[in-house]
Amino acid sequence: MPAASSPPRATRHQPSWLRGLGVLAVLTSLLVACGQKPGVHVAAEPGVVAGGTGPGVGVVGGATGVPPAVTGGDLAGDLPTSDAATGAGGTGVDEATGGGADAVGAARQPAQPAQQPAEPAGQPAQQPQPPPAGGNAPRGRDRTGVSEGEIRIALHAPQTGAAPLPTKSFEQSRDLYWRWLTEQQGGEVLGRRKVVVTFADDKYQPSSASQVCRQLMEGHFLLLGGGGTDQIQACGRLASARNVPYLSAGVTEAGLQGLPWYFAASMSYRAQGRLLAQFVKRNFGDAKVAMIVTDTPNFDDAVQGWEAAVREVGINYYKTQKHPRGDTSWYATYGDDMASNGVQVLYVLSSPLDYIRFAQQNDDAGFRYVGVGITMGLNAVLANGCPQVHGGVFFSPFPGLDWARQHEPAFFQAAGTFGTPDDDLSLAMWGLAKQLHVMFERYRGVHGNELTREDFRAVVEQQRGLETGLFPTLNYSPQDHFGASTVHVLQANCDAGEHTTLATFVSGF
Amino acid sequence: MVKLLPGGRPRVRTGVPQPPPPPPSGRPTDDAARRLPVATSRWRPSAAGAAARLAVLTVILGSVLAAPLLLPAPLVLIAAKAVVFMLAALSMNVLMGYAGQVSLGHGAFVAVGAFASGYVLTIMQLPWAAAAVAAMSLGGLAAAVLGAVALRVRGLYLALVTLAYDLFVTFTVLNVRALTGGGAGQPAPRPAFATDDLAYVYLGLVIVALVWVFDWRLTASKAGRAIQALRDDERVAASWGIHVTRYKLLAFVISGTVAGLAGAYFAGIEQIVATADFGFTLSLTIVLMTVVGGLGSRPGVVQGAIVFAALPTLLETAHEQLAWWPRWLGSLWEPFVGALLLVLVLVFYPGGIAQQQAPLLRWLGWQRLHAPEHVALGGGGGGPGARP
Amino acid sequence: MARRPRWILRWLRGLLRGRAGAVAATAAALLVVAVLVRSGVNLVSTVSIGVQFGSVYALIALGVALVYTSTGVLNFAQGEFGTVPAFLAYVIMVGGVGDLGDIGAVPDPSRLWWASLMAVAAGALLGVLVNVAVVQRLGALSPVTALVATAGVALMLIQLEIIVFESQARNFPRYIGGEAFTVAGSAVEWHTLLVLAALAVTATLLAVLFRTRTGTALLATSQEPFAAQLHGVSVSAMSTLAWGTAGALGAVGGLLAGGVFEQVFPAMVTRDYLIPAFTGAVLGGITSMVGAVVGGLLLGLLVSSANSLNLALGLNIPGPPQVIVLAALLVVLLVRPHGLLGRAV
Repeated sequence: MPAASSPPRATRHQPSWLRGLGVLAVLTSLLVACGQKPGVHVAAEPGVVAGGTGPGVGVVGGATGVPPAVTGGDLAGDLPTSDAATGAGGTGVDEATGGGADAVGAARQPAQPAQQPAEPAGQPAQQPQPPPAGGNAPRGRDRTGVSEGEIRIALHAPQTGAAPLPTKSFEQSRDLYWRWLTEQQGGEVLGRRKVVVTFADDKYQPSSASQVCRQLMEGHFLLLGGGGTDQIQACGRLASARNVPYLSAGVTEAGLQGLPWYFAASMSYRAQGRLLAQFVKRNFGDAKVAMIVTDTPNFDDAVQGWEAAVREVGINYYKTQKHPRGDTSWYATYGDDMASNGVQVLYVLSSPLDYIRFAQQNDDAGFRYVGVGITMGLNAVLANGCPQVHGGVFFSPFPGLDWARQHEPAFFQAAGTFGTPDDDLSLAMWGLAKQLHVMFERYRGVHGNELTREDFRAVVEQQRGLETGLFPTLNYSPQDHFGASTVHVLQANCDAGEHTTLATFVSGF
Repeated sequence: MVKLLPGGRPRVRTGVPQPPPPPPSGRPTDDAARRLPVATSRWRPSAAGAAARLAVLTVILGSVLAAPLLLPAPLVLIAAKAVVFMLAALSMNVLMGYAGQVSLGHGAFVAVGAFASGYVLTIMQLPWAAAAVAAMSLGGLAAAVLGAVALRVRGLYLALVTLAYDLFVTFTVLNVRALTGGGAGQPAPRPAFATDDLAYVYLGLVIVALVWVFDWRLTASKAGRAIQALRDDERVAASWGIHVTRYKLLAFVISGTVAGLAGAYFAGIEQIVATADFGFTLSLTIVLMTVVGGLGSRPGVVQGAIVFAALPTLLETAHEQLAWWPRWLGSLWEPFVGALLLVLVLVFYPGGIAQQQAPLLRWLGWQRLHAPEHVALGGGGGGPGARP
Repeated sequence: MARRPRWILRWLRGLLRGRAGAVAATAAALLVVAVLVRSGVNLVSTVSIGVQFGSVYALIALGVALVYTSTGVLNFAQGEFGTVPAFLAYVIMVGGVGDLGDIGAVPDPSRLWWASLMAVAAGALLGVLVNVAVVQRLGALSPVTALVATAGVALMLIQLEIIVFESQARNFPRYIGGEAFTVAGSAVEWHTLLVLAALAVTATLLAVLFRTRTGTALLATSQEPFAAQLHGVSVSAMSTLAWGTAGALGAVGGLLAGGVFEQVFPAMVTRDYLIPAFTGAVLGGITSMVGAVVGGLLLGLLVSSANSLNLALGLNIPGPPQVIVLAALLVVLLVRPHGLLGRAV
């Protein structure tokens, strides 16, 4: 043993009575001291408003062209161009005509009295809005987060913790749309000049999410879920228990289906499974297909939806393989098993980090990756996953940046003006805010500017044809709060460093 | 040849809790287990001294009770987190402070308790008390398994086993979906009488008080002294007639039971418990707060727990409200500061907070402010008289 | 007829004397192989995966065993001796600290070797620093206190990485990419061979070190510090040597671990490699350098076999590696506490 020769150390620091009391005093005051301010990281910057405009309707007009699909070998060529008139308010994929305004835009206009005629995006609309047509007085009472001059909403998303996302964009772009709308465009939201968006970090943990959401509900009208299935589920359930409206991109239906206060802004994983099976059948024919999915109950409905569609469509299927969470030793083993059983196409439903590592460890197997959801189609996946993830095709609630550059220039102008990131996650936040704006406009048509939680919920669940030109068109009903029926199709392009938009607003293949 | 120290006792042992009036007992093992027969135990404070002590104790107790009321509503649950940490630290203290067994997998016991509670509440639909009992039983059981291993494996090797055990629990057991709901988590509602945040915090304080009293009576009992004898040298303890196997297992079971209770309480804070909440960082944090608080000292480890529970919010608040605070020093630094505290404590103040407060704690414990020389060596406080 | 078995038995007994560990390991390995073959597992890929992970385990385990043998400290920070230098190499390869926020930055592979040299030097420095600044100051040392202290150091380093690199994975190149050859339809990657080669070279260098005067002094210090001091050996110099070497070993492990997923991320080595490495060291006998190598490799094979078996048999056990690590640790500690190749205490 190393020498045990030094003298007992404890006697060196003969503590004094005063010091002891001091330490105790400091410690007992800790709890009181933390009470200075709420722990939620509030980073809201209000915007100022004048005048009003429709909810970005102008952008919708020419929003359906499919850019030529250029990447990823054989896939691009076979891409379907399905009919242009599926889905109630939405559209199928147009022929790749290079975009431009066309008649589809008119067909997609929601039939609402309060809607302004379409205006070109990016041009300020200074005319004051006419008074709302629908003037029913609201019946609800809960005006949390709503005051004379502003509406406060909140966003939770992972920023620290093991989140596999470039997470600063959530916070930086949280209110980009609203600031652009009110400060740049001179718009109003329900007659108010400010929309304050508070951001909270849910640390990529369900319990942290519950904690921050509980706090956010206190002073905010509505909650937005930025990402992370488990966290969205936890907060969505909490929100419904407390009668707080909650909006997020579609993830799992488990525990969220049937909740009165939860609204999905895009298709659930389960529903996307049917589209994906059609896509795989159409593009890969009889190639052998398998699925790798993280072992969590929140993906069970996704697996069911997919497997049912696989049988229905008639895919040459190997198996659905669940992989353990949080472990890093299975990639090569599972990949070898898939490859040696002749699997060519792999549906991966996991965290992006797992996907990237799997692709990296099985580089030689030549799998074609497909999938659904939100995170896999993020360009951040390319930053870490190239070149192995090149060519992977993933559905997404929002289109790729290449498409947005043509059809949603306002986003890039706004990002430039306010100095926020112009990445795809910011675009997603932009799209979600736009979706919410459309909901607010519909509400104005019914109840005017008096906003209550109860009435907002009741109005939104009756709405059909909620359009933004970014997120899928939503057709809600009181029975179904997963109102979307279309997806965008993105393909990883390592040469461009971002996803290429293969098709937009697709409702079938 | 390098040898492992038997029992792997940390050098920082402080605060040998001395029972002031030795409870009468005829068994010779009692005398054997009681270390440092202290002459001061017969000393009584004067009437004024007693009044002063009572007054200070009342103030401390009062401020602890008032603290949740002073917190703004969104932060009340920080007090609940502090309760979990206090229970975990007290639990760790039994193992590390009294019995000298290091556990780097204490988070596993908390996790077992939390998921046991969630399972009983959600799947079996039983009342909260049943969930708490199940959490304690399973926590104790999980610890007993580890204790059985500890009978054969000691010191560093035991530390390694606890670490591997922690990983096994977090990766394997917690991912058995039938038991834990997998990654999505298991709902765990609060008891009907404490659904409100504030009520739940006070329920937690009551639990802490009960555990404190239990711990105090334990250290004053024959079993408690036997457990502490193990820490110093198992062979010597055995030669005194102490049943090493029995008391070592007992220490593990007590510790696991309290940790399981901490888990049950934790599950109710957010009313959902998920696998992602646990991991070896939690286990290490429990070690951190216990060492920083002062091994072997109840008041010490409890204060250590409060520090670690409040640290993120403190950093956040300082970051947002203090003009002179460095801009970069936000809540992201909390784990760093916590680990730094540990290293500083180990290097400079091995007795932790308790060592710094030793005279005060002794005074509060119905003894003289300055202890006789031979007692001062321990450095730590933890007089059992420091009542909850 | 009656005598021959007795003769064989005696011969066998003589052969086995003192080699029980090796025999047990061989038997266990044969058993594992038999089970694997029976369940239709692809042996080549299982072994190749196992060797890739196992070699990294072994490199980390070597550092652990070295520090333990020479200073009696079980070093929890050994994993971060790998991650921190790997991040340093990353910073050098992406051209400085200017744009650390860019998670997609592609390191320049042409600087890999130069960056690796710097990283190994930094690892050595880190090892010495931790020893001087923390471990030496713990005074009369209890092994468990030291373990807790080094765990504190590891937590600090991990959090620093998270603060600087935002818990994001960063791209990290391999020294040699691609496949070396294909056996029975399964590809063996160059990286696997490289990690194995690196392990062999480091282990040989260490073996040579222990043959030199310095190495002897190191061993002497570990066994009888006081006596060694009487013979003119500087205890503090020896402990610096041990920690510095361990830091360098950790750096080599970290650089190669970065190549496994072609990524570095905060807490990488601690999270994915350290506990198996500890277990490997104990398995091989924590006081034995050869034991660390054998134990690390064996554990790598066990882990990949566990994954393969879990898959082939459709057991769907979550976390087979964690099960096998705990099982291996328990078995070795309960049956043969000094490990396969360690000397009985």
